[in-house]
Amino acid sequence: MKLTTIYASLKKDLTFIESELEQTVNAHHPVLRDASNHLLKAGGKRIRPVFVLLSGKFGDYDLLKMKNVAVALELIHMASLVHDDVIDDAEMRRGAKTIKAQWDNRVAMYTGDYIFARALELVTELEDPEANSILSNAILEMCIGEIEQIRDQFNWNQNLRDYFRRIKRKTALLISISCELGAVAAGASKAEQWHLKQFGYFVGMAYQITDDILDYTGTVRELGKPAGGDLLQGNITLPVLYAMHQGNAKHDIMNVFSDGKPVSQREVDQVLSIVKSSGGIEFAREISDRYLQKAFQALEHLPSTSSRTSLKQIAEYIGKRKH
Amino acid sequence: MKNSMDHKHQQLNVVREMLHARLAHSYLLRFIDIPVIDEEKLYLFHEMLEQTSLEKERKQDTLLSIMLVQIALDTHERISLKDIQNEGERKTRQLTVLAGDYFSSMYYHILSKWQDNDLIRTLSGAIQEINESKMAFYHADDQSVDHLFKNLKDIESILIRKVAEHFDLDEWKSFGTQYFYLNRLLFERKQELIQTGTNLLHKIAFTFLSVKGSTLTTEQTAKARSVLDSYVEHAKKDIDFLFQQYSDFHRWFYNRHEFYWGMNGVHEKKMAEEG
Repeated sequence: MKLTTIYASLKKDLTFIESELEQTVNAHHPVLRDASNHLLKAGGKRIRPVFVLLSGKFGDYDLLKMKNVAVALELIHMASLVHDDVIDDAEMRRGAKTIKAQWDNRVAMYTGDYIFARALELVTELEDPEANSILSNAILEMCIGEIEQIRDQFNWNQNLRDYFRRIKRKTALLISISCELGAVAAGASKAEQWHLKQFGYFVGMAYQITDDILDYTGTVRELGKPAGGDLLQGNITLPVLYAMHQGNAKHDIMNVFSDGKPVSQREVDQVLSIVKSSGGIEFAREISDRYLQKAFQALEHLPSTSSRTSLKQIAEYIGKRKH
Repeated sequence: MKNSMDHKHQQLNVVREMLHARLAHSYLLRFIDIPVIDEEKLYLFHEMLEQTSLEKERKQDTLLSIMLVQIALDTHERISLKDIQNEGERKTRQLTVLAGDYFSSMYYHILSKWQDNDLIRTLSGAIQEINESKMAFYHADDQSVDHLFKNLKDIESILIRKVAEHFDLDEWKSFGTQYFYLNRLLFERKQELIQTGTNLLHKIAFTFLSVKGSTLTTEQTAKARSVLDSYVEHAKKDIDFLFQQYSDFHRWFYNRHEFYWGMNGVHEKKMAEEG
């Protein structure tokens, strides 16, 4: 099932959120405004706002309240992407030039900071101390996770626990709090808030593991970039972590990166082949599936509604997606 | 008097240590310089918060949060524009981005702990305006020179003005604005004495003298410098007026200002011109 089909029941509300997103980043300065809109126009799955809205359906759903959370979380995600592109020195994102490539690093820093500040201002409109507390804890953790990701680049001695902690902070937390804050903003019961938070966490873990698998299995057309990009940047993800425990794979992979010279396409293909033949992809898929099963279990505690069905369908989509 | 000064220094030391503890991330500091704490802004915000009725611990955390906002902004200002030449430069750039984000996340975290929704709103609003002004200063192509200097003044003073408004401390608004604006001008002037053709001089040349290209001639540099000096003189008059109004109140700032002013060379140049 396509995401657009799953989103159908939210179409009207998502159109409203999209227009609010545009209005919220409508800066005075033309370059700041253009840069802010640049990424917005490039699209995206809007998975965080969708989780906010669907979770809100378990409480007293008020779109004007939900909007503050949905827009804020998408903006926080966007701000982090703008800064990530400076970190990764990336030229392209979602088929368009990155802000740092279209303008420069400084414009990207100002734009990311501006968008992030707009997001926080929006959350304060909720006048809910709990929302700020949840969000501020998550953002601090996400920042620590990003720093640790840089620290752990090319660290061949990291283990599974390091990886899981990293992807929790990098991806799962924001998806988890999208569900939790949606429920909080709608005044859902504490138990429902908890189960939605858990659902978001498990889905977020599966989402990132799937992303990490796609970096080894995806085509240029599907990914918008060549496969193997994560490892080229030194990011050791689940498929390669598994491979490194099989035979001589660790030695062979480390050899490719040992002299610090630029890695050729032939060498990248060689590493991709080692990872694929090790069973690392299948192992990562199995772990991703386990997280999805846990996500489904979390949903079992919630009332059987069309929103619960939609959440389940999105989780299933995440497990099967190709980009 | 001595006791109250000692007490103030003790309070400032506590916040300084709290700040250092927050800033001293061991991995970050392997690749980026330890963030500089602007002692004058620390003192200013401390003085402002002393006039509020906040309890001691909250006052400390509020000061800490405001300083973290300033440090986060300053950290991102250090991002390099040039192509990366080696792994060391790559790490430094990556961690400069992340350090700024990390410091920024801490101000929000601290204020959330106090459930201070209003101050979060004030500070996030200030950050938006500062980034608008930074962008206007950076992309100043179609501006007048007055606008260029107004942007510079805003970059230096928006945080102060917003905090002053937040706590109803209006008397600090104009003083803080003028003091830190002049400080920035003197800093820019000092830069250009060391290295010809700094950013600000170039911007003055491009906006006021309509210079094309990237290198300034000696004549263009002298003209741009004289424009900068005219703004320095004007800012000096404004702050002297405010010092007369608040002579006792702002003694600490006055002493520092006199010290900096004596070092910058503008008045010697002016006296020589006047014969």
